[in-house]
Amino acid sequence: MDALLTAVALRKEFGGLVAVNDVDFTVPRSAIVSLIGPNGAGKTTFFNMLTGVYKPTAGAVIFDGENVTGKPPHAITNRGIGRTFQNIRLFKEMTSLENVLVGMHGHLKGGIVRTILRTPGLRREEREAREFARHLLQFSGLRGRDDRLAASLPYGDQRRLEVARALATKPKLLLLDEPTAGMNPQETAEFTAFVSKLRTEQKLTILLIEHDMRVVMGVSDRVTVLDYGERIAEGTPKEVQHDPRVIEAYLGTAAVPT
Amino acid sequence: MVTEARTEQLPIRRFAAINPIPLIGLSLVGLLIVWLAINLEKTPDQFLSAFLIGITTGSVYGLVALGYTLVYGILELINFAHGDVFMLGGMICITLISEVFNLHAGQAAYVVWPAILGTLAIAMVGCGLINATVERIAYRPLRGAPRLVPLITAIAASFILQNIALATKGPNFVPLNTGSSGAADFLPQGNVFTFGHGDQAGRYTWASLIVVLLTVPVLTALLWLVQRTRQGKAMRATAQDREAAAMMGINVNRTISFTFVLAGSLAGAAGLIYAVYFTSVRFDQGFQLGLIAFTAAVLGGIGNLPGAVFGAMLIGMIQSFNNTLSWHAPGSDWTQSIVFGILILILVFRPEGLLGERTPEGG
Amino acid sequence: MSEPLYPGAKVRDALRDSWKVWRHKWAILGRVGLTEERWRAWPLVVRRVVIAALVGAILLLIIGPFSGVDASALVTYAVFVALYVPSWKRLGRSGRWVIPLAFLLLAVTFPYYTDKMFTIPVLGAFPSTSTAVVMLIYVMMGVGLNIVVGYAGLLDLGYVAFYAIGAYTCASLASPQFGKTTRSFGAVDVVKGIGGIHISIWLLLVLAGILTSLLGMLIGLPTLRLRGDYLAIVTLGFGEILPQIARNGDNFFNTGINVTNGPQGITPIDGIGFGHTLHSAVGLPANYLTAANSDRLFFWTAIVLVLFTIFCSLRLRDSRLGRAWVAIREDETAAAAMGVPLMRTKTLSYAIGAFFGGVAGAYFAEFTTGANPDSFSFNFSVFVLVAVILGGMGNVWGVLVGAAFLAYLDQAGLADTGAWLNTHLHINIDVPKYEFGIYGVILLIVMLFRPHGLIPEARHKLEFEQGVADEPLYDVSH
Repeated sequence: MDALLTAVALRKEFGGLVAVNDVDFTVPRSAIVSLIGPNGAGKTTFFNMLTGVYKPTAGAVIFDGENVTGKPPHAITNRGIGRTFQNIRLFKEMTSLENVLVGMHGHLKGGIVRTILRTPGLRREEREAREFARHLLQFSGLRGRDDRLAASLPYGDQRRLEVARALATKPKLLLLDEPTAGMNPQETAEFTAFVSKLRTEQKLTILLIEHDMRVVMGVSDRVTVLDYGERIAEGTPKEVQHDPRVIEAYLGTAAVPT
Repeated sequence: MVTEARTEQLPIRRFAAINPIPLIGLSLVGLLIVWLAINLEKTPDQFLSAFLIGITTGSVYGLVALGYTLVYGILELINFAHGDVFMLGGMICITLISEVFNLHAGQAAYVVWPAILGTLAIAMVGCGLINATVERIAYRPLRGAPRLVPLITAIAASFILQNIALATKGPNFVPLNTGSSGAADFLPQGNVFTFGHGDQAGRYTWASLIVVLLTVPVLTALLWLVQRTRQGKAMRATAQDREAAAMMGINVNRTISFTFVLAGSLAGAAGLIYAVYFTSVRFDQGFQLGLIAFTAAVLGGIGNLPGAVFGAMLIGMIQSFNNTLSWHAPGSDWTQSIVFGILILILVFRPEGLLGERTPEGG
Repeated sequence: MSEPLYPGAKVRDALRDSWKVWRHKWAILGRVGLTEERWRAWPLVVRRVVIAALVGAILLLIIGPFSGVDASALVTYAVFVALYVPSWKRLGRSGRWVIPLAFLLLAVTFPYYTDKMFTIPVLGAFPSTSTAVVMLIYVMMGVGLNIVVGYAGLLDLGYVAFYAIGAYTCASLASPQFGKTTRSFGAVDVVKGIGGIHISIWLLLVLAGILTSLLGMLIGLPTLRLRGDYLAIVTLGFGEILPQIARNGDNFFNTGINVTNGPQGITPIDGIGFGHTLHSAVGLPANYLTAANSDRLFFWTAIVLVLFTIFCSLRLRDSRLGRAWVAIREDETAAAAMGVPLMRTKTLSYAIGAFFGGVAGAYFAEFTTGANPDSFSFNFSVFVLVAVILGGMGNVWGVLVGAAFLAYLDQAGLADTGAWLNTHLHINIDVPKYEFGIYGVILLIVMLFRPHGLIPEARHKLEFEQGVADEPLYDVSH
């Protein structure tokens, strides 16, 4: 199996607290992998290490054959990992289009001198960037909202805009952090379909943190379960569902639907 | 999340490369120690008198620095106006001493001491109220605003306080009569002890000792207040998590006001000490001294009460060593640059300060 | 903004609500029969004539009692009406240039009419040409600082440092300061045998900009990863250290090396001009300092510099870099996750802001023919910051107005206002003495009641109303 992303014995300590304890983890190319676990299991910390927000205490992250451990977030993004945030972090005072354009930052070139002179090459680049951004907005179901301020969009659209913005970084791997949190069942269903479409149409590999088991079971190829910073199970959704340790971890919080 | 970010500042990696930053920092400290040692060897008496002056100025800085640290600990705000509150304290004291109590040389101790303590009490209460008023007007309405906004109003408040002093006391130094010891003339002018001889002779005056004797009880009272009382507990809780404190039934606004009163009254005490020891105050001196005291607070680890005093002593020492020592000392022309240089180096190399960044509870 | 927590908030809200009269104007006007529909039904030109007449009447009521109405006031009013009433946009593509060009024309011809203008109520006479030069230099600094504070959201309290470096670069390389060497490159009217380095001021303006931006990067690299308030205090520290270096730089640590000439500063500086060859060939001024219309020449050159600054500032705002700055201002973590390199982007804003500060400093040194350590105090940094905040952070036009107005107050307006108050209220207060107290009050009032400035940028408004995620969530050491 060709792995796009591999985490080797990844570890994170905060003071004396071990948030993620030597977790090994693999995302195969063009798969949808889910990371689940009870609240406080270390999922988001794990995510933040993959994207460079935190530096791991120990261990390594290999992405696309390259060791990216401890690299700054923008460098990791520009190597092909795009992400969304658990609590939406759009640039609220920018329009949808500008949000997406910020996502394309690493792929545009205009330096200071060229920007001030506004050379024909730069004009073309900017025009193409805008076209691509509009295309992404359309693809994400935000047609006609290009010039709306991000803060003024309805909740579901903000989630979509976050994805569009992440797609603008031209990722190979897309990390979605609880994308359906706060959505109603219908919105969730639409979003699930959207995630599947991302894989088929954009040829993306997707890593998902999710609470909603229907979403996880519906779209994932592989599921990894974290509890208290440790990986307690890994496998297909079916395997994981019947794993006794997983059931134990979830008892008292939320029962795994069977 | 915030605590996570702070711990993050010290990444421990298994195969960490050699980090040049601590090395540079350590070698700078090393050079400083070598310089001090050579000076001590060459002119021991000068060194001793510089040390004693350092303790005295450090006491004043310490009281002001505590105010910065208390406020920063609870609001994460650099209260730029704090130095000016201190300056107003000095103005209040000089006015009281020279115009109300009419203290002058040769008065009996039973006249002088109650007057000084009375001045201290009035200055502490006055400055506490001024500081709390600043908080009410300039900071409280902006609590939800971006972080830089209260910083800007803090600068505004600082200018306004300076101009209040300018309007009431004029643009020149407001003086007290100076005695032979360099301190105010109504204080005992003698020496506790003298040492050395010739041009290196040094002395430790009663006035210097009085400064320390006034500082120590104020500091002790503060520590007791923060660590042992109910109000102190509320402060510590508010500093840790304002929302949680509010949910636990702590009146957050009152607690913050109280912190400002406390910080202001420390500045008032510092104002008295400064007034009687240095004998003159000018309207724009507070800002400069405030910045130095802030540096001290950062040096010790902002939010950390013992750290502020420790940092203030260090800064006081560094300043007096620089001004007094003769072997390759840059001299008083460069004091500001050296203090701000330390501030910058500390923020760049060790932003958590020498003793670590902690909230007022000290843990 | 948080809910009102203290009694003063009621006063504040009441004041804020007074603006709502304007919002409910249709309800009020409707009672006298003028509904919004009827108003809109009128042709545009008619509507504008009505508004112009109303504004004119209000101005008349204000100006009249204070300073009387003379021909110049009426002509000024007529000019603005002529610009405002016709709908220039109907002229098509060229139409949108009419008003900006008209304003540019008004600015360029300013020296010809300023001394013939009416007196402004309270503030006194129109600014003189030399006051206007200083105003323009402050505008340039304001627009430069706006790139750092307004665009990228980094509070810089030591902007004066860049200004000082610019001034000293210009002063030391175009004066007899370094008397031991004699180098001359394109300078005008250098006295023979005077010694020192004499480089053309035009080159020095560019050089000062480049040097300060390099220094800006040097200062920025270690400090820009600090939290916002720490950054503010570090920049303040640099702003305090540099003047001290300037003051003590005539004899560094008793080594006898004189770089800055100490407390006296460096003066005089060579003239700025195009030299005698170009003067006799095309009539360009040879040397501003010796020219009869010296102030006007400085004024027009300053206009060119300001236009250049505004042009660059606007181009940068609407670019990839400008978007990245706003993104960082709003949410560093999200910006980094979108591939924006935080350190590089912040450092760039710092360097570009420093560039304009340096050029402004160099030009100011040339205008006053000297660089003096006393002019580089913390107060000056705050002064420029007030200009940026007063005008509206992020908005170039707001900053332009704010900086020009504040510079005018600083140069002439406060003294005039003080004189007016003293004569009319029969008091005796030295108003300019309290300049910074007044700025303090302005800052406080602006921040409490109108935090987005007088002419806010549309974006910022939202930020102040909703707050931003400006708690850095990780160590930004990249």
